[in-house]
Amino acid sequence: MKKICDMDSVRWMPKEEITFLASNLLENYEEYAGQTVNPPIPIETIIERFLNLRLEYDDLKARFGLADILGATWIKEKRIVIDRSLLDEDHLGRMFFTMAHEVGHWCVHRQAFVGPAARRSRGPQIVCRESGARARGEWQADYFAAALLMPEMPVREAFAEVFGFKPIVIYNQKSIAPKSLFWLDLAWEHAGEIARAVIEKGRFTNVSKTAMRIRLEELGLLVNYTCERLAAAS
Amino acid sequence: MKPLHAKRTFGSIIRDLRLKRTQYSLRKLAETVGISPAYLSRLESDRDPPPSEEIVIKMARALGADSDELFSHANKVSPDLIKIIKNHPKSVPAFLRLAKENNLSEDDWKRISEYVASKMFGKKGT
Repeated sequence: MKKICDMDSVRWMPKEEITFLASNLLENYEEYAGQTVNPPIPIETIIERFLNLRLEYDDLKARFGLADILGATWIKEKRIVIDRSLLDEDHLGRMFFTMAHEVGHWCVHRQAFVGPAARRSRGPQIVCRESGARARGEWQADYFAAALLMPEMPVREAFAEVFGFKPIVIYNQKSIAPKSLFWLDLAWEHAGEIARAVIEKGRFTNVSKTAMRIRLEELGLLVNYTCERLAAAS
Repeated sequence: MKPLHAKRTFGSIIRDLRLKRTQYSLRKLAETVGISPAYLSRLESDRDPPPSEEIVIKMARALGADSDELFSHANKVSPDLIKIIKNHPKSVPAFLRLAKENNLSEDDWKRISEYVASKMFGKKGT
């Protein structure tokens, strides 16, 4: 597959700028819908009815021979394709996040795909794989997806309703035990339960616990001191 | 109901009906009709041939569309019509061929339908 744009080479953007783009999309969607939009953010509707992009499901793994492919975007054809394996009931949170991630590429990176090479291209301009998550553009699309599906204020409000206004700091008791016991990471388990509670309270029903945990950490509502304590103990 | 455009593909018609007449997402329509979202996605993008008659009927119902028109775009014939032809294997094909030879217009068909309907109520045709 011909590479049209390297996701490592997209311009650096501050988190605030990406958050602004996601908020802006939501505000424009609210104007289109004529009502305030609360979680769960209707990402399928935003893609198909507001952005007028084609949304499809396909066996991308077989089509491109890539085992870890999740989604792809054809900028020129205005088409987002999600790998059909994500339709599995157990992966729905991940599927919606992948949709929002591809919308992130559309909103943040599509201007990088308007040159002659992109016009000649017949394949997808953006292919998103689990193994590519560290590329700058992929990180930006992830950050956009999190800001879109889990806007800061509703997350803070849901968190406050369940846990109050102070952030939760997790001290992993086992982590300071002898190294042979390190396999049991209680902090991780607790973080998942905290994320689940925020998802339920805020009705973020199209978001996975993992995505919410990362968002809570990003917003400073969940702090994991395990690493610091491990470092101090070693 | 406004007739569906004659030259468009089955997939594009399904997609347009879904987006313009309903609030269904791909997943919700697929669930309503009893097929997988991936299959519906392939149908909408014409990567698979039109589905079975049973699915066409369910789609027409879910999308508020005329099933006969959808059958036409799917290059299929409604099962009840096939049954009618089978029950009258000579007269129905002969009648349809006669209609074709005489290039009946939409108005002609409408008048014939009205005549048949009036016969059913025991009235004289016009």
